[in-house]
Order: sequence, then C-alpha cells, then structure tokens
Amino acid sequence: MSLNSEQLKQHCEMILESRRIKNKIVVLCEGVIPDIGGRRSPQAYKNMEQMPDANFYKACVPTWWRQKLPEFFNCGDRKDVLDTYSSLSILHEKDSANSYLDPKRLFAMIDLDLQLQTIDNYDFTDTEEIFLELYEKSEVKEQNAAQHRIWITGLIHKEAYFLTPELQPIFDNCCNEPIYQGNPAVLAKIYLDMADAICSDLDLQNNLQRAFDRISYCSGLDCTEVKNFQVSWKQRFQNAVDETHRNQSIAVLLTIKKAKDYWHQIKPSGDFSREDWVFREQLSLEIGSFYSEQSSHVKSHIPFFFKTLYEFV
Amino acid sequence: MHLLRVQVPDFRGFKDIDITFEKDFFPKIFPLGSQNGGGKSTLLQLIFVLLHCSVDDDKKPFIANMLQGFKIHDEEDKRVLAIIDIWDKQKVVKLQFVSYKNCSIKELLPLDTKNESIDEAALCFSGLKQLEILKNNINYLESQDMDSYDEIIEACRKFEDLEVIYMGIIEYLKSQNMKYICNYSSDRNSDNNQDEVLLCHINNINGEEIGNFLKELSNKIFLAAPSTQVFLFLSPDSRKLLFSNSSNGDNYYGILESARSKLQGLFTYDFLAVELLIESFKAARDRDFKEAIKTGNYGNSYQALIKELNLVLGNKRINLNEDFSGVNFKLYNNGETIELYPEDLSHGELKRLSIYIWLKSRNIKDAIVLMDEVEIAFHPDWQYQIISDFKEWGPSNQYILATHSYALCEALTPAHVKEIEPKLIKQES
Repeated sequence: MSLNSEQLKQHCEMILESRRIKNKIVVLCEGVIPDIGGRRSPQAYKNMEQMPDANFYKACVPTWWRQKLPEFFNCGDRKDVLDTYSSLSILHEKDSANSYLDPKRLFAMIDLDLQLQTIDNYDFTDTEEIFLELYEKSEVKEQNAAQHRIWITGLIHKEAYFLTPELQPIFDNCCNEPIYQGNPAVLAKIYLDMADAICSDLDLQNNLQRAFDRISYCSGLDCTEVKNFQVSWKQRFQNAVDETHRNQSIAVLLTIKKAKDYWHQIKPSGDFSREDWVFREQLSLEIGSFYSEQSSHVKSHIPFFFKTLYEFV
Repeated sequence: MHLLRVQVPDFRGFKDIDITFEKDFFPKIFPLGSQNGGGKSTLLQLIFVLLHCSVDDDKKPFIANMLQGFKIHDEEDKRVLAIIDIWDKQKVVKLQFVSYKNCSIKELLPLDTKNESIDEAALCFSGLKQLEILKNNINYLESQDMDSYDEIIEACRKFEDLEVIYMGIIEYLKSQNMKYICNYSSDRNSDNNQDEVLLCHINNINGEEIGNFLKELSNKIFLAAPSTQVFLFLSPDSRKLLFSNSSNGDNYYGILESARSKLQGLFTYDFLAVELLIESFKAARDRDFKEAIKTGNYGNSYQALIKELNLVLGNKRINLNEDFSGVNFKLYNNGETIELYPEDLSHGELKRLSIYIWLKSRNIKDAIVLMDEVEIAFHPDWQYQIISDFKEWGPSNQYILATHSYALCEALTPAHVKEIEPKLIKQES
C-alpha cells in the first residue's frame, strides 16, 4: 500500500531535515520505511524487524569511494519512491532554508518489474522508457547514463542481482552453505526452475509483449508465444557455446522472470541459529560487498551506477 | 576462538545480562549498544580481564582490582560473577566464574582430603598465595650465604606441610574442573583483607587440559579502547588519579602504560602507534636480512609492509625515518609531492593506521577482539567502512564493538547488533 499524502509529506520532511544529507548524494530506494522512533542509535537499528533494503545498495558502494558516501533512504514501494523524488524537489524549492538537500544530487533507484509505472514531471514518462534509454543488450548505455536521476534496475528486481552467475563462488564459499530445495545452491539449477515456471507465471503472461520487447536483441529465442519462449530459452541456455552466450541467456531470464521467490528459497544449511531471512540478509550484504569490489563496466549495472553517481560528489 | 555467550547476573550496574554472539553469523562482527553509562565498557573490560588474566600470576592483580568490592551477599556462600561460553571450533566450553569466601575451602573439600593435623582455622584459599611466598622466600634464602641454613630448614618444613595440603586442594579442584584464580577484597575501600576468592568452573573439558585451554584463550583475547577510558582493572587508587591533580608525580597514564606492558592483549587508541610501526618495520627488515643470508637475495617484507600501509592511507605514503626514530608521510596530489608530519594527518587517519598496525604486528588471528568506542574520531562514512576494514584486515577474528554509532551498524544486519538493555525499563516490562 502506498503512502498517503500526509505520510509522504512527513517522510519527505524527515529526509530534508536530515543533517546527514548535507553536501551528499541522496539515493531513494524501494523498501519499507523503517520506524527509527528517535535517535539513530545501535539500539534503534537492532529493533528493526528487518534490515532496510537500501542497506544492500549501501553495501555495493565501491571500496575506492571512501569520502562523502551517498545517503540512502527506503521510501516504500516503487510509486512511493517516485512520489518522494518529485515531492522532495517541490518541498525543497518551497523552503530551501530548512532543507539540507542538494536537488542536483538527488537520485532514485527503482525496480524494473513487469508492470509499467508512469512518472509525472520528469524527462521520461514511464519506467519502461527509462529502461530502454538506459540499457541496451543488458548493458548500460554509457553515453546516456549521466542524464538520469531516476535509475531503473537493468534486471527485473533488486533480488535478481542476488542470483547473477558471477555470484556462484560467494554461494560456494559462504561459511554457512546456502541451500536451495535441499541441496547446495547451484544457480544454474535455479535458472532452470525459473524457466520451468514461465508458463504458469500469470504476471509475465499479462505483460508478455513488454517483456519480450526488452529481450528482442537476443538471438535464438522464439518469442512468438510463452511456451515457445520457454523451450527455446532452455535450449539456448543448456547448449551455450561459451560463457558469454550462457550469461546472455541468464541476463534475459533475469530481466523478465521475477526472481524474488527463488531468492526466498535460499536457506542456510544445518542448524543456523536464527531465522532463514536473517541468513539471507547476511548473504545479501556479502553480495553487496562483492559488487563493491567489481569494476564499473557497463555489463555490471550496480558498479556502473555508482561510477556515474561519483561524478556528482 | 569465538565468544558465544556472556551472562553476568549481578555485577556493578549489571543485572541479568545475557548476550549471545552467534557463531554462525557472518561477518563475525557484533556491535554492542547501550545508553551512556549502560555498561558497555565495563562489560568488555570484565570479559577481557577474566579471559586474559586468569592464568599468569602477574596479571591476576588486574582481576582482583576489577572485583574489589564484589561482595557475597549475606547468608549466601557464593556469588556467580559471570558465565562465559567459548566456541573453540569443536565444542562449547562454559566458564563459570564464581566468588566464594576465602575460608569456604573447608566446605568445598571432601572430608577425606582434610588432614587431622591441619589447623582448620588457617585453612583458606589465600594459603595458596602463602605457599608461593614461602617458595620465593626459600629461593631467596638459598641464594644467600650458609648463615641462614636453619632458616632454610624451617622454611622448607613449613613449605612441605603446606604443600601437601594445598597440592591436595589443587588436585581436588582440578578433579572438579575448577581452578583457583585469585583472592580479592570485598571491601570497596580497602584491598588489605583478601577475604573472597574467585574460582572458575569449566565444563566440557578435561581437568588436565584446563590450564592449556585457559592459556590459549588468554592469548586469543584482545581489548582496544581509548586511553581516556577509566580502566576498572587498574587499582582504585590509580583510577582516582584520573580525576585528581596528583602532587606526588604519579599520573594515570603512566600507570596505564605500566599496565599495558603486562597486558599484552591491551591496546589503547593513542595518537599514533609509532612504537608498533617502528617495531613492524624493524621486523620486516630483519626478515629481509634473514632471507638474504639464506638465499643471497633480500626479501621483500619491508616493501610489502610499506605497500600495505599505503593502501590503508589512500593517497598518502608512509616511510620510516632513517634513524628509526619515527615515521614520516608524503601526500601525492596531482603530480605534486607534499611532505607531511604525522600531525598533518587527521585523527581518524592516524587511528585507522594504528588499528591496522596493531592487528598486523600482534598477528591477531582467530581471536576475540573487544573494541570500545571504535568510532571515535571517524566520520560516519568511515564508521560504516570500519566493518569492511576489519573483514579485510583480520577476517578470522571475532569483533565485539561497543559503540554509539548507527552508521557502523548499517554495514551489518539488525540481528548482529546486541544491546545492554536499561535495567529499569527492562524490569518494568
């Protein structure tokens, strides 16, 4: 459920009055707005039911970026993030004396998702338009990156970045071996399960044309109907001639098939002392740490996002 | 080694402290929060002295200082001080530190251990100390001329009598998986009367192995804290110096320095750990020289150390003064080289460098590292990044960080963060 106008106003005022954003880049993210309830203290952090989603992005900040780190804010769902983005600018204009925000350094990062989300009062009218402007063949269009303030994930959700193929060593070397459906997590198995579920994915079928438009660059896929796509994708994936070819298939899948359900099936092995989601939170920070050390190539969406952001420090 | 759980039922301001540091969490870094005066520093110091000072006799006075005033309640014969669970990568070892009356040795021992010739009134734990004093006395007399022959005979007789008794006691304690730690005074204002005794009961470990286990543990526990901290393991008189204008030349920091020389696991965040840096450079130089003797070619330890330190420093470069008297720095900026003095570096940069060289020079690995107020002098951005620094600098260690920093916690999950809860609020709830 999205924020009502009063909640949105309060949320924006909280951001504008946060001294920690002074002279900093601000990044608005999706995720439940945590109820700190007073001073930002270790106790307040401990009392959160779950880790703020934005902490994953914070963990991805490149290791070479040591001063003036961006400040991240959870803002609710995708629409809330967009509403917060536009409202912050308006409120800042109205009363800039009581705002620590630098509007030129305001950014948002939202999920691509399958549904279209319209955007008011922005250079691009909806999420899909931004996606097409920002990515091509699953790579960031370097020449266009600098003009974007609202960024869209190149994969379907933030969680898709928890399952990219280069993360297999993180899964293999994790001190509590991640388990998927009773066995050590092998990402290739997850991709095949995702592909098997394509035909029963109503959300995908309802947005099929949009999904197929995103991946039309990929040769060897039959996008005439969903069943054909499923068969052709599995053939392409299983008969990949090299790693590049294989990774392209994976990128296609992670661009259109929701990955959250599969991420939530990742569990710790043995008798982990806490709930499974606590394990996943810790694993997500390890993954963030992995991205923080990755080079900022156009293929690496998150590191490239931060490289672009750093220009605004 | 991993500190798994600490329970402190009732010590100083603590009431029913029970904190678990999960061994399967990653990274093994646990922020510890509380309100100001909530007892974070006290808890870290208590854990440190109990685990670091329970073996070596020259360190035990630090435990006695910490416990001075910890009194067994009327009509009770013992008082639990702390229960600490340690995971040694194979099993959980529970160490229960319990205070007894000095004379309660009589109640603890089985009847057949008691010898009829023992003067029961004199039987007390502090006799172990007397035994040690007697032994030292004999050693001293033996080093003197033969005029003291009669005194030696007399001292030896006394020693042997006591030794029989107390060796039996030690053996009995060992058979019960218990270890005598030290005597201390329950009087907060005076340490003259060592009327109480701290014993440690250890389970899940063979009695014969207790000594080795505690020795290993004592080498694997470290405490880092600001030197402005009130260290409760210093004597009460020394602590008072921190709040007074001493006229007799004594000063708190001098006493702290003396304590640091005995407590190898203690580190204070001084301005810059120059001694450690010089020590590390010399050690690297020596390794290179040994390599030259062995292979004919100098090793690269010195250069590797410089490289490591420069990575920590970012755009600055460190070097050792030619006379080994200190270190100097250079800043490389847009092709320009600027000479810097250590004071030109920020407090945060110096502290970060100090922590790094401490972890490296002391070869701190697979250890329990307790750190008090690690965030001081760090901008929130660096507070956040200290977690990744620890993961990089000493990934095998467990870190417990007493802190007020929210930014530091954000680099971990909420489940990592532990809290010493306010007593009154907790009782009300």
